[in-house]
Amino acid sequence: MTDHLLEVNNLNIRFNTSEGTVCAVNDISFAISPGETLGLVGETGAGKTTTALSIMKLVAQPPGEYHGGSVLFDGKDILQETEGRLRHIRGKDIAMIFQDPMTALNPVMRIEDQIAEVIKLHTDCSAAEALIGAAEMLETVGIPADRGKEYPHQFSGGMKQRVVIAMALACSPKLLLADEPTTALDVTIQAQVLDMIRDMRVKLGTSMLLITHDLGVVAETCDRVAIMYAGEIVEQGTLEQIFHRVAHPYTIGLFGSLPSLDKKVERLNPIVGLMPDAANLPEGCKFHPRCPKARRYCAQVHPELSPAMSWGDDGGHPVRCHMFAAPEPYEASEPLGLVDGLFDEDFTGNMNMAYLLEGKIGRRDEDGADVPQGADVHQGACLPQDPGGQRDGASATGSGTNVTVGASDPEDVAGADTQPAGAPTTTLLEVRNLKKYFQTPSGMLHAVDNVSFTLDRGKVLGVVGESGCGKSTLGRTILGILDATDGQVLYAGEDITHAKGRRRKELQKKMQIIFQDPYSSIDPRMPVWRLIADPLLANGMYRKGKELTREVYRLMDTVGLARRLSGAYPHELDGGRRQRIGVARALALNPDFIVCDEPVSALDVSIQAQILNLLQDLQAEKNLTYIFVTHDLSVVKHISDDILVMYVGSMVEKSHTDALFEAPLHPYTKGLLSAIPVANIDVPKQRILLQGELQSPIEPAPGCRFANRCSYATPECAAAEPPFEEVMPGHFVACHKVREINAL
Amino acid sequence: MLKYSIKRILLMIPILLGVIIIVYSISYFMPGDPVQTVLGATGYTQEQYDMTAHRLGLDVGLPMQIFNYLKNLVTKGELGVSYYTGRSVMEEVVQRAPISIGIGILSSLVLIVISVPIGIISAVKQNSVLDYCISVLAIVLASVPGFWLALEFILLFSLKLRWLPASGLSTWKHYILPVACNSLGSIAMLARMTRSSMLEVIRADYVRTAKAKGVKYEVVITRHALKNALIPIITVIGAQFSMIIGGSVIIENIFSIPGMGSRLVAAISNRDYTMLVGITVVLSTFTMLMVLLTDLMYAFVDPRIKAEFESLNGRRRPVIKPPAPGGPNVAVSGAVTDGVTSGHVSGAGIGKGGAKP
Amino acid sequence: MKKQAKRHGQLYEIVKRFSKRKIAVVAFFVLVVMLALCLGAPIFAPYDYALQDPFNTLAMPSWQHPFGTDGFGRDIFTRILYGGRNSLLISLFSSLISVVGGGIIGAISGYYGGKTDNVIMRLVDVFMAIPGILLCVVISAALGTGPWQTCAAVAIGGIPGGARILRAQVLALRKQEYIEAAGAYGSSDMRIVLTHVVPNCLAPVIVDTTLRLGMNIMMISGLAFIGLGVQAPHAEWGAMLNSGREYIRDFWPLITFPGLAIVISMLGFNLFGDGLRDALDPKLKT
Repeated sequence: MTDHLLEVNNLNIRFNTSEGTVCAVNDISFAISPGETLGLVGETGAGKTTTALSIMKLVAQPPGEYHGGSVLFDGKDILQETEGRLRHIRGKDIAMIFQDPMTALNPVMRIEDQIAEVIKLHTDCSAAEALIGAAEMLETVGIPADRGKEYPHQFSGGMKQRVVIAMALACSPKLLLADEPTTALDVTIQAQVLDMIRDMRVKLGTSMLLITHDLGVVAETCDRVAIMYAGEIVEQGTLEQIFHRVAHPYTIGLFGSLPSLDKKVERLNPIVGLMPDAANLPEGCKFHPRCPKARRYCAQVHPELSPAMSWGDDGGHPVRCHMFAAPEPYEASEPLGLVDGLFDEDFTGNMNMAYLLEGKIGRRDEDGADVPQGADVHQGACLPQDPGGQRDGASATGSGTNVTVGASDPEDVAGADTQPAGAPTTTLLEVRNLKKYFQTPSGMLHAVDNVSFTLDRGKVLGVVGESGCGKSTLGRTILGILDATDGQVLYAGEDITHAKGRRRKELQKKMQIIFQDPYSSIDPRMPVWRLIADPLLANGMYRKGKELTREVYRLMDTVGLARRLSGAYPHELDGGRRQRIGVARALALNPDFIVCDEPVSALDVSIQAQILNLLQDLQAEKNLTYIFVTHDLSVVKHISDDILVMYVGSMVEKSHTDALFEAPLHPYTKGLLSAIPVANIDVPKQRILLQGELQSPIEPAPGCRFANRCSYATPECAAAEPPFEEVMPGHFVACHKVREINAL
Repeated sequence: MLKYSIKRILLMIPILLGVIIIVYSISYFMPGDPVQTVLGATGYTQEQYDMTAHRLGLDVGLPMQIFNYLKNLVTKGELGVSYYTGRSVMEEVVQRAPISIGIGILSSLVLIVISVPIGIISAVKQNSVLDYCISVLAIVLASVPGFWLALEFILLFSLKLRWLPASGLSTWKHYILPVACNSLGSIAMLARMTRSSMLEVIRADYVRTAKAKGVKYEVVITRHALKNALIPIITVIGAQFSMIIGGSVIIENIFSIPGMGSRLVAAISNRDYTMLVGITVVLSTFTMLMVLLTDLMYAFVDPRIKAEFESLNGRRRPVIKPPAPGGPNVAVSGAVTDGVTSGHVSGAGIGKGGAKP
Repeated sequence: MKKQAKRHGQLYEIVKRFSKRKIAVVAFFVLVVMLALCLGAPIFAPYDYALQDPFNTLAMPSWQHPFGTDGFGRDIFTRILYGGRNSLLISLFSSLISVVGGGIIGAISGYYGGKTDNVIMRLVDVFMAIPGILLCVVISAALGTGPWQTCAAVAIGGIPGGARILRAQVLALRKQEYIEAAGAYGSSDMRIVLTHVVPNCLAPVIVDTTLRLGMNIMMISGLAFIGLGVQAPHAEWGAMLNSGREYIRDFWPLITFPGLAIVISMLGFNLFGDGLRDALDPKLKT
């Protein structure tokens, strides 16, 4: 017991707000041994950050209030320490890495001064020595020491986070608190930073509390895991226990929500509803309104943490669930039934509800029990619409692969039956050498450079890339929201690049967009029904009245928004529901083609899964064509037929989804794929770590834009732009060395 | 930085030109006939009238008058001749300017020295009795016009208590009341601004970072929070300076201070329009210079702004953001604009919103 | 079924949030009382505002004359009420003109951007280079004395500021994705402005108007104080202060009471505006 470095016992933290007392952290206990890494996992609002801050006693008081419990660090209770003693612990024995590197550094202070400050505070050294120490730390985290003279705004996000890490590790702390240290970063940068944290930890023997929402990061970084929900720990155990013998329904739900890279899942199994407001927690088990296994007893009695006996040969790990804590009364009480819970608890999070209302219960697949039966609805998805159109080689082989890989699913079988390889489909969208440049004070920004592809009706093209790769601009340029600098966009064979006026208006009914940010993309001063009706009114398709109301209700049902929310204002809704409004609005004009611009990247995992399912269902049902823009490869794998990888404005690889994931050919794609943390502890991962950072899209140097990060690069790569050529059937790559690298 | 400063000064010229044109044009439409002002109400012949009009340059159209005025200003450094005293306006302005400008600068210094610390204390001791008192006092003072305050102060300090003189400007004591009346309203406003700016900064992530490093609270405030809090304050100081200069017109009048403001009020009642135009132009120029100074100070405090200043090579005002590839400013009309915003600059322009909250 | 029982209009929520700010509510009621008294001056005033009493000049406050009488024996309380009618009405009209006029200019500038924006903003720069009071003084000198002239002078002086505020607002709004979205589903420019831009600009404009009301009261009385603006025989707070300077040595009521009237009305508008700003801020919504 005493060999624990940190012991948190029954910690309670409350916030006194004008709305009343909010219990942010409830009776939390965990321990960290020297050298160990504990992962604290949960969604937004679970109380993770508050827990971490309390370990340094940094929760602002007021409004925060420690309400019992202790935080024993090296045997001493942090919560009882004086402010003076605490200052010697903070930064020296316990250090913290914050979530957002953009705001964690003082913008008006030199980088080296910020690092030197912490060294000078905790060691007995002069200012000059501290500066030398700071320079060494910078080198250690991979930043040239002479850049220490610069200010934070001159650093990229990844570099800022390195600085924050350098600052945290400058005094070799015994415990490192990392609060979502990589969430704000791009995948390849995330991999670099995680690797670095791991190396430094091993070198310094530091223990770590890693807060994250990403089970993949946990799998790759942690020794033990604690899952938090609504201010309490619901499950805790070793990596092996959590990943192999997961017991709590919430944790199961989290795993079910994850789009997976390594296995093909046709539909995600999200948790219904959303996390309750901390000021308004439900009685009994806090998870019961969303729990598929909930029974009457769960709603009445709050469960204690107790070992999940039924699972363990190792004695079981602690789980906060009646199924394990009190199996007898649990079994004895009647099942609640999720649908019941949904209505009772004011939840409408799940789109399935709409189908329940419509009597389409067959669509429900909560526990994988009800396999979709609405074949009539689904058939359209893969039926060839209009034989006779041309199609390019990419999609021909694309659907060919589809037959072999996706055959496990009834829908795909149907598709394969009706669509033999080589059968023509109509090309809905064709993009030829599209360019979009922006004039900036420091030069021409090549946001989209020479992008060409074709997209067949009813297909989904995933456009993937890191920030600044031009993926969003591409979507907007195709839609004509931005005026193309050069190149052509053909819609159903017609050149619409510079369509204006009436023609553009007509096109807008066919081509829609779903935005990334569910907060800024809907007008805060309109109620829900008005938001959804706006496209209909703007195009004069309806006037205010009964018919409009009916149409709005129909759309709300389609996207799974409860009708009673029609009068609500956006600020009363959570991100998931707001995003449903965005989807309904895009669907209002009955489009054929939708650009989904990172529609789930601002949402929590469980909500993300709900929206992804919704988009997927709609696509199948209405035979929609999507361009799905995202930075998250696991999300596109789940939804796309083809994938286009972009890097600093240009295309690097395009292929059918499965082919791309199985055998990526471009070095960048390889790095990108391997950078994604996988929530699986069984598959040892081969890491290809991409060094360096993205080139600026402003006046990019000639040649391959990836050359500066590519381990295969030769002078030839930097000299000439690589052609985007078909290396394998349907598999296009822009790389001079592609054949050598892949031994083709 | 120097290059930028020079460019900014040069860019003031067209604005100054605009000011002169506008003020002169307004004065053209002022009631009364300047020639009559010069000659007196009666007792002159038509010939005398024409001659005077010609001498004053009033026998040509407005555009020509403005042109002549500008020509005079550029070639001879003259602002015309006072209709009332017959003296050169420039001469009189040069004589009176140091007084007005001195009081203006003194008031601004008092403003900064008093309101910034008060605002900081108020923010650091948020929700304390002191904070509450300061807040109440600030909002009350911000609602008191300087000219009424001047009268009440004279009533109290000069007439009743006989502590301070009520008019003139011979000893340091004479400065106290005018400067106080001139700056109290602004002090209240600036203190409130400083408080809210400071409160915002105290909640910022980097302040939390500093605390997590084990930095003392006092040092966190002085070293990390203060400089950041100052940035928005500096722009407010520029605006307040303009208020102070405007207010001094009335204040000088009350305290019989022989500055430009009191002369301006006299010029209006005397229909001495050349004087009116001259003083307005000089006061505006001075205000513009001070606003420029705060702009440059802004760059001095904030390295981000400084970087933008330098990269812009002095093209107008700062705060220009390149359109982010993720979502450039899209004009709904289809016209993509230069992206000039008055918003806040946050780091480099190319950011991504894909972060999870 | 469009609305649920517990759901109310936005106006209701704004009023509810405003009513939580006690000081602002007090300020609001003080303003209402003041407005009622001043606008109803002919009813409430005990005397005629121009009625002179040569035998009772500079009388100290008494039951007959609660605030005393001025140098012509006119009742100060009466003149404060009438003066308030002038000040408040002029302030109201000039604020509205500044906000609406400046607002339209600023909106055009911000929405269309490019050359239009450049030309308008340089013009605004020129006007803003002249200190506000100075600009009003110069315009007022050209227009002459009288309530309407004062109103025009103060209004014109306020237009550039109003334009700048709305332009900044429109620029910030234009970056919002919902404006982009509205364009993407085929809303016309006009429609976007009317259904999205205007309602979302309204809150800051309302707050600006309220704070401007207070500012303008000071501006109007300042002009009257230096002999411009509203002059005798009309009653005006600033003009009353000016006439009080003559007797400053031995008669304080003529300086103190009109001054207090200015302070109370300005304080009222400032506090009310502050409360309104908080009540209208969507960020504070939960």
